[in-house]
Amino acid sequence: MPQYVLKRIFEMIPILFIVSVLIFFFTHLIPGDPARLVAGKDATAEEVTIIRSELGLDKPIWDQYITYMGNLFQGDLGTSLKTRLPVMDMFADRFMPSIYLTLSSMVWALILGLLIGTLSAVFKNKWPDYLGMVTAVSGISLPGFWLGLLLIQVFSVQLGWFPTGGIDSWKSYVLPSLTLGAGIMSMLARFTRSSLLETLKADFIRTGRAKGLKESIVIPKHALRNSLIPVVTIAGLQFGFLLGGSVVVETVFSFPGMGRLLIDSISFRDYPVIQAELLLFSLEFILVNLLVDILYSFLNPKIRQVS
Amino acid sequence: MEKLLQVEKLETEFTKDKQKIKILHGVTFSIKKGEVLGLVGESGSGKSITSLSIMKLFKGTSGEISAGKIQFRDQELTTKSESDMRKIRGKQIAMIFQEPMTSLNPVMKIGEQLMEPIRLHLGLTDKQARQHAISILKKVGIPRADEILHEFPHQLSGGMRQRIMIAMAISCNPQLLIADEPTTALDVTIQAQILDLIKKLQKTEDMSVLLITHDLGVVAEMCDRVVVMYAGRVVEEADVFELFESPKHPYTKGLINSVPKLGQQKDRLDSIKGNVPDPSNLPKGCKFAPRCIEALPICFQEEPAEIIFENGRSCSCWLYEQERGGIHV
Amino acid sequence: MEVTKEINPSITVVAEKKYSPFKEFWKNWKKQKTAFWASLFILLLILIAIIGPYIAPYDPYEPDYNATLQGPSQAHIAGTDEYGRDIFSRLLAGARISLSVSFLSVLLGAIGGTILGLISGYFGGWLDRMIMRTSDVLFAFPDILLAIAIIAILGPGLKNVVIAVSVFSIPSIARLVRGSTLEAKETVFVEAARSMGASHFRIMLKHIFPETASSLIVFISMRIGTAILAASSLSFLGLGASPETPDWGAMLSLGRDYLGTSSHVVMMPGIAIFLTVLAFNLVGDGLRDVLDPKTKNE
Repeated sequence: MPQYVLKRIFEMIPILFIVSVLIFFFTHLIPGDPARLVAGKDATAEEVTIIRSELGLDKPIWDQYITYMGNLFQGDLGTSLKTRLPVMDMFADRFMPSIYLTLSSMVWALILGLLIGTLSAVFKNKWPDYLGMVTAVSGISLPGFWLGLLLIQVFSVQLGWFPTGGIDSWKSYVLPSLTLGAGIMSMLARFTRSSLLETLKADFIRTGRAKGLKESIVIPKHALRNSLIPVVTIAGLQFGFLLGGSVVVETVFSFPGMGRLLIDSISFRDYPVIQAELLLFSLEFILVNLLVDILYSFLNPKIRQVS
Repeated sequence: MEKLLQVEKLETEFTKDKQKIKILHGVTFSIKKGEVLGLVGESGSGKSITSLSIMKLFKGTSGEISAGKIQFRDQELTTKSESDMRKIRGKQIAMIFQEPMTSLNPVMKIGEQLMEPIRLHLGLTDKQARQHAISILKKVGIPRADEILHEFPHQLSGGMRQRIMIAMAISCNPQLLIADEPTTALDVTIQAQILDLIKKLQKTEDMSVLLITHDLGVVAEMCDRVVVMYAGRVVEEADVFELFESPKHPYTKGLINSVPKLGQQKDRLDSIKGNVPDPSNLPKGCKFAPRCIEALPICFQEEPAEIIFENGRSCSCWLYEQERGGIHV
Repeated sequence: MEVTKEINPSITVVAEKKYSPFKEFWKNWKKQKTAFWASLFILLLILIAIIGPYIAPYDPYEPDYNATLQGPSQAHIAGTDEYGRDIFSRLLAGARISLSVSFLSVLLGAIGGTILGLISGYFGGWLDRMIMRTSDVLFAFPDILLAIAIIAILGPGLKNVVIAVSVFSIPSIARLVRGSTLEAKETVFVEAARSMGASHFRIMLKHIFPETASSLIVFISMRIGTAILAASSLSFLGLGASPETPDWGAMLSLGRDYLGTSSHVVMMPGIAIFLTVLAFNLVGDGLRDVLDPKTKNE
């Protein structure tokens, strides 16, 4: 088991390396001269040159990359061109709210998605199935930003139950989390349904029934546990969808998190922030998929034994 | 001998595209206490549906019993509710299946799966159930039973898994064991071991066995009596020796001739030409007539009725019509 | 009269057995009721995208400062926005933008993905490994983030949205096509074509590509919905269409300031996006059931 985890971590390293190189080089393709941005409009050509060498921008790009990665391992992500603050400091109070938002969305989406998918499969072609699948296909078709605006309109403006934006208390997370999780919940519901229907055809389900087990045992204990294996894999891949969605949702709710910072930085071409953001998002995504692989090996004894 | 199970004029239907298709057409047979009854026929003849009907294992399919009776000891199964049937499944009637590779849950430990019916039907505590499980595993000839409880199905061979399935089936002392092609998916040498085990357990545990197979070699070795099925009907029933000695129905003859015999000089085996008919599109008259080498003109017109002979054997075939009446009904 | 009676039977014999995959598809397609109606809705949308500007009651760009933020009325059936522009006319014009952006980006992605997938699956070896590793890396970026990153480099605008969305479609399509290619490569007719000395290009085009077509069609139809959502999200974030364009996402982005007072400004484009994406998803589900028996549940 620990060997398996180590192996997966080692496999991550080359991907992380390529990703970091790609991000670094591509953010340098962003048009505009960062030295001039920092220096300001009135700066003379000499001042710009001085700033360029201060920022290390006059060195070859490989050198810049190595310096950047070296700093990164010491916890230095560079300095924002816009605020002149260390990027690390800018992330400090934005990182956790975004994590809470994505995790809470994932958790409720998983629970409800599994529930709806299971009910749909168990009551196949009956009303709970139709209701569940209409909900799910609507959920994957809803634009997240529109759903967010609708929720604000109903629950903040009209009913006044939740704030329209910002972060004050746990209440500030409710509507963004609902918005962000809706699409994933729907995908997981559809996927759970088809996976469970497939499992229910398996021979061992018939064995369970022939033993005299109740459906309320056969389904969760025998069928669902097998269906979870592919569902968990999909949930991991969909985590990327959540990270992307958080950019949109944070904008809708004026939520001071990582996603909104990314959009703000893009409009200012604040490339050190963009670069660090993209690196962090990719790292999160890769880490989540590593966790999924580990979880997967727990669910699937075949993989566990092979290692 | 006392009858343990009596199936009478059983009809089972499935629904496809809103159309009902009858798979079993008045299946009648019985199993005595301590007997091994073979249910024989090609695939598609309705053997497996018969066994699922006895257990009423129709969940997830469109199948339902539309007519007939299934008398098990003093209970009528056709009218029993699902929750009453659950008390019978695994406890009084147990079942093993063809595919040991897929019949066990791949993500549950053997012990967990084995102890499930034990706890459910015998009401034992975890500790007692474990003891019971180990003793059953020893009974079916599994070495290192202790360790096996903690292993997963994929760690075991096909033969071992089928032993586990058998252990699970006999764990609550059922009176009837239904074995649906229990050795078809196994290697020849393993087949013999599993059959010997079933035979041995049938005696020591005092069970009746309904053995479903298409393999007449297995029938000859295992069974006391044989019921031959074709297209959802019983076409012949006889004592195992009589069946091989003097098969009556041309279908039975065809099945027996398609088995290679030792010392027989033949270039090729006789096999029955053609295929089992589609249940939604059955021919008129005797369902076997289109493939029958002895078919008479009437066979294509009308379905033959069952003829019961002196010694309790029976056959549904126009060839023996003149023998009807001389014997009591 | 007598003559025709005699001729008739021979005619029916000739015309009797002629298998047509399209007839077969049409027969099954009509059975998929929701998908059938959804496909009619899409046809209607395509029609609107073509003739929209001719049937629009107002100029979608023409402001009318005497009629700002009006609710739906007889004069403006979907109301007006903060510049007094007719929302219904803007929605009609937006259909053309949404459909062309999504069709074009998915088409580009499909072409790129198919070529890479065919090459990767057909030739195998280091070429395969290189293409698949690259797609693994692209997979490491969440879809919309990849699009955002591309737009960060290329700058905002609809043209760049098309490029961004097509790039993030490439890896998944390449994988799908590679899978089918690997299967098709082993079939007898490909072996036969190869033994007759057909060129690689010809084998890929004539023998392997048709085998991948049905799963590709299913995937593309599903992907169009995703592309519309992605493109409108980007416009909403201010990274896509410029604010004055009658793009559905951009309309929503402008309208959000008036959510409390004139909610129709947000409702109308939202409903348009939702129904369009829903229709493509339903058609995709239907196509999968008809064309792809492997993934279908009964």
